[in-house]
Amino acid sequence: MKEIGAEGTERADELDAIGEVLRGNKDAFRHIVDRYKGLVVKLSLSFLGNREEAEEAAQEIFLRVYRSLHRFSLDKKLLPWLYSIAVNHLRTAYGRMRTREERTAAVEVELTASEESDPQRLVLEDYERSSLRQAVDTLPSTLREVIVLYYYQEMRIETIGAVLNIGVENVKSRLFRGRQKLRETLQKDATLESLP
Amino acid sequence: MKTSITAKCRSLSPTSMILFASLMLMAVASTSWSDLLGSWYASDPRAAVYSDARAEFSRIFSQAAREHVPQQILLNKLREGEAKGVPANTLVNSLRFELALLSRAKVILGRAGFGGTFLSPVADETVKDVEVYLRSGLPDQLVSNLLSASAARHAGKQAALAACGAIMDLRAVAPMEDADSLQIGKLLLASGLPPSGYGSLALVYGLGKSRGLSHDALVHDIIINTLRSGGGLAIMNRKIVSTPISEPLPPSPAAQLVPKQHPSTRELVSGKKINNR
Amino acid sequence: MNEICQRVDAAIREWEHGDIPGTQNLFFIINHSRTCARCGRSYGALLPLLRRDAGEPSGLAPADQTCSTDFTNSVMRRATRAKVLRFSGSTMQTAKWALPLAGCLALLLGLGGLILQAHMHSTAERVMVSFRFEAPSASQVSLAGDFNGWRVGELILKQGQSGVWEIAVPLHTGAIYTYDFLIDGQQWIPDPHSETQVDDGFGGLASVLRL
Repeated sequence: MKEIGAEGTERADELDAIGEVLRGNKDAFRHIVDRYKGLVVKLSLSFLGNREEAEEAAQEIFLRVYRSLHRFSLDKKLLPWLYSIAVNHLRTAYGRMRTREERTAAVEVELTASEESDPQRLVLEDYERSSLRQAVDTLPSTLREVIVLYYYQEMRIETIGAVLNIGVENVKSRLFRGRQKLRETLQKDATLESLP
Repeated sequence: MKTSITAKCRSLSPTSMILFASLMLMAVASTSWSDLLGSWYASDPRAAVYSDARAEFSRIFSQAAREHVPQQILLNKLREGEAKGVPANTLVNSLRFELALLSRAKVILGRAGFGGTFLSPVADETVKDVEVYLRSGLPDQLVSNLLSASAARHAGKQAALAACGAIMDLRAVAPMEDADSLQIGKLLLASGLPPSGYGSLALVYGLGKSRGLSHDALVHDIIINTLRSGGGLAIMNRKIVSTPISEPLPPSPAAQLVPKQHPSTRELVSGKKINNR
Repeated sequence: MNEICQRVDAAIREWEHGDIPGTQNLFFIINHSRTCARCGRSYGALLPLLRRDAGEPSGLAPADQTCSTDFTNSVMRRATRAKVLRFSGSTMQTAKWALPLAGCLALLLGLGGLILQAHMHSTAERVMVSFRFEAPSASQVSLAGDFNGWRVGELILKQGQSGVWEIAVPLHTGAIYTYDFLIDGQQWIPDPHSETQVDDGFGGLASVLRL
């Protein structure tokens, strides 16, 4: 009950802020930026891998949100709508990152700390994460988005559906095809590596 | 005996001279109005597409001139149709409808005492305002009643037009009954709220809907009752936000929200802290 | 390839199809991949995904991000560059001597209609209004409305880096305007940002702007 109450208050405050912005109190948008900037930067990092690019993209995302606030239906939740604007923008931003090397080399993101204590294993994990990232980058955008949102952002399938405006079954189908392609790519790379 | 016009003028009184000049102005004005259509055909190469409809257009513009309806607005509708590539007979029908709307707008303004005089005619923009409200579906009687109410309060037509605008926006998002629309319009005029603030009613309605309030509760309990008791948008906002949400929210996604750091806008509205409930 | 490797292969195929391994099997696959060179090479990189599917943290998510207040300030600066910027335009004074002036004006034939039009704007302020339209894949977006006589090709929007097309137009306050966007010279679309849209009388919609 406490949690629902707290959520209710937060939702009311969020709607307050949106209402204020639409009535011309532009400064009220600060409330929305402060609440969601961490999430948006995190999402941008998952897509772009580079902190500087991610922060710039996150700022542009909030600008898009500000300009589109008129179109937000007050009976919907803000976060999935905000995420869908973010994903749309990140698609473009990702495409603009010039070369493949730029994209894959930019995995300097500070990830959640590994539980591994063995230094050799840490190096191996780093290498494996990098290989996975490269494989993710080869996916077509429709599959890559779902893979990033599910595995890198750890979003629920229903939320991914709301963000991308597709059905839950479609999300699951894209996850399946994404996993398959990743496995094929990584196995092929592994075979190449093992050749003399 | 020959008398020149000049000689006759010299002998006229100032009042007669003014009357003569005004009649000249009328004649000149009528001529220039009908030139609007002619100059469109002459200057716009795409007007050639509508050469077969010229006679029909001319009849419509002449009628507009007789009814003292702003022909510039009619010409703009013509240009809009031409820009959108509308076929000639559709454009003729649309212009007739536009003329009918503008005529109705003039009658409504006239009845409320805002019809202007010959020497100080009602601004085209005012006629355009009313035409747009009628085009959006606001009933003639509603617009008329609000203009009359505004005139009765010596509030001028801008407040009434702003109230019509607010109702137009509200009706775009809510299934409003005409009686409720009129009541809200009149309460807005009596409220003392600045006309620039009238437009937020649609947002108030949207906010209430998002919290599960029914249409009736929003229209009667929140909007009408608040206006009736002298309250404004801030009180409507507070009433809505303090209403418990009627459905439980779905479970939140796995992501954690950043803690709120900005003061609640309820505090901003009232200017003082409100105790947590 | 030994039997264990075959079982791991089968488990990975099942995982692809959405058949998530239980916790016990998950750790079996992880431990085996760490000791078997062949399975390690093939599946090591996929292990974070299997973890996520089994309900464990993937280890791929970026750490929770803290952003400085500079971030918010920067967003607010960029966002609140006013959509509507007010500036003092010149105003035309109401002709207070309309009566005697009317006689003189009657002789200025060409200006007859325009002079009465000036009465409309006698006390109106002019403001710059920004029109924006999102159409990243369009090659041209133009604006037309009664403020420019619906002349197509006169008000061409410029596309910014974010794919949003934009133009600023000076308009009088206290007026109501109708307008639409024309996409690639072919499709008329009302402004999704407008508060109200009305039937344009031609089977479509026109956006309404009240200043």
